[in-house]
Amino acid sequence: MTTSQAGSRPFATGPEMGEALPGFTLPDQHGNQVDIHEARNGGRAFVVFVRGTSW
Amino acid sequence: MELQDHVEAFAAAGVRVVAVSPEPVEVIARFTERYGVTFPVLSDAGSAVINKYGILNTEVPEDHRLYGMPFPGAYLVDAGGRITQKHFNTNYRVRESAEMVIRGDLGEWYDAEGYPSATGGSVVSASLGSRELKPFSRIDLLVRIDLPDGQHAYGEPVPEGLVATSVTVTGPEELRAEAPVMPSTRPLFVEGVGEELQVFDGDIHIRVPLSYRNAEAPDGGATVPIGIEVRYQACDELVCFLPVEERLTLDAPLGGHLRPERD
Repeated sequence: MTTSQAGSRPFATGPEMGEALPGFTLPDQHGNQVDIHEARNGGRAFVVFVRGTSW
Repeated sequence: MELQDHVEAFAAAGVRVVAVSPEPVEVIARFTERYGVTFPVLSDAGSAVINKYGILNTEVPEDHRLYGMPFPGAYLVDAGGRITQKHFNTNYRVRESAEMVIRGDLGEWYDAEGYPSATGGSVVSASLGSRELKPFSRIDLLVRIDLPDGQHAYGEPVPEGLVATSVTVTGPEELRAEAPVMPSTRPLFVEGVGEELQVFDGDIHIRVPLSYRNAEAPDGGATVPIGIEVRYQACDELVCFLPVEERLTLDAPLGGHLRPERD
């Protein structure tokens, strides 16, 4: 984990390039539990963290 | 959500799109239904995963209703589950990030309708990685040298007498171009030189991150002229051709930056 400097404010960017994406399981919009690595189904994934969907 | 526009392009490249939001399932469900979102949007209500990743936005006070939201950004993960690209910055925009991944990192090249482009002859072309240049946002310029089959061009360093492949971007003072991101080379033993050189083969894609630091286009116009100078020397197994210097001008429309984004 690192932070990068954007102006004078520290800005956390999470796990580093080359590291394994830390696993997690969360409910999707239909309430189904989704394991991020199972959802990849052995393929590549683009995982986006958003501030929120509705604003 | 702007990601929906790119789901097909990601799918074509074999990339699954997954979003994570700090909102509850019900709020996400209303949104995905209303906007026809087909990819999974996961609910990290309580921000356990956001905290685990260490990307909780600590500038939001704990008693604020938006507490728990992440510093936004994206990871591209390979088939082995490793992070191969990260896009995190203070002005993170999912559309630019998705376009950069599709057009750059995944090696996909689509000349989507409405993307400004310029062509010089049959070999060299350039296009903007977005429909328009946005003030103070980072946008990729993609330069392509599509050599005929069997030809290669050279990466740095080259011995005297050969020209290395290079891209130089010029424009108004407010246009800033970062160092070009070259594709990887392969070593090739060149008989005539008697040493191993680094070469690019075939269709060479070069990415130049750009930013434009003004809300107005120059001279009150609507576009920003981007000058692109491409140099390379093509050779095949037998001969080397004369060095080529192509100059293109791409007129990039300037978009607004005050329009609210819905991400």
